[in-house]
Amino acid sequence: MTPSSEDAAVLASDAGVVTSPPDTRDPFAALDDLMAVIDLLSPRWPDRRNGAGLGSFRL
Amino acid sequence: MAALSRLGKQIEELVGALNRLGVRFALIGGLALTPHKVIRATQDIDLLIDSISADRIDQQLLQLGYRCVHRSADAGNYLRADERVDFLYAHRPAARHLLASAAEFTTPFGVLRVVSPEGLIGFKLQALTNDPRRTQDLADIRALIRANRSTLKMDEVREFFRLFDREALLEELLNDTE
Repeated sequence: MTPSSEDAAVLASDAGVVTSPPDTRDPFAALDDLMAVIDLLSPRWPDRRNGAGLGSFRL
Repeated sequence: MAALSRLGKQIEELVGALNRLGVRFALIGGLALTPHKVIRATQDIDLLIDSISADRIDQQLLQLGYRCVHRSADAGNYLRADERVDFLYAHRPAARHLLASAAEFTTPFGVLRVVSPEGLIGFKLQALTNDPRRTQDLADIRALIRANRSTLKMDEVREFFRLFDREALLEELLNDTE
């Protein structure tokens, strides 16, 4: 079924605007705050890939 | 100051040990995005060091309780329980230049250096080329370009994409991030 223009309008309806908070904080402190929150969430991290040091190195 | 996160404590310990050793090191990887306007969660610490320091750093890491799970002329990987530190060893002119030109930051974890955004793009492109399944590296490159578009030294970025024969990918990314 082909969506009507009305359906498309609903799907594409106002999704807000992209904004960023003012970057007045030390970015490393912000990172640590983020990681502290993640600690509290007891994350299950994805498995690490083996062989991260393998391959062709040109740099 | 508030207590550091678990990763923050690991970085603080490592940075303190490396600074006491007096070796030059610089953050690369996900942590290094931080001062370049891209902050994301990460589990790993990735460092660029000069290859001539690799043995001294290896000894220091063993003293800190890490074990080496891989070491080659180009890279080393260390584990301590579920904590990981990865090293790239600079021994070619390009990597040595990126290490020497890394900017210094005073952070909650101590004084450390961070590779330039152009250099980070280069290292992430190298990782992506070595393992195309590393989609996080592609996402990071895209985010770095988007956040630093007006200040990136594009000649340097183009040179990295040329080095890895990925010029078409750069054009695609630049179109994406306009």
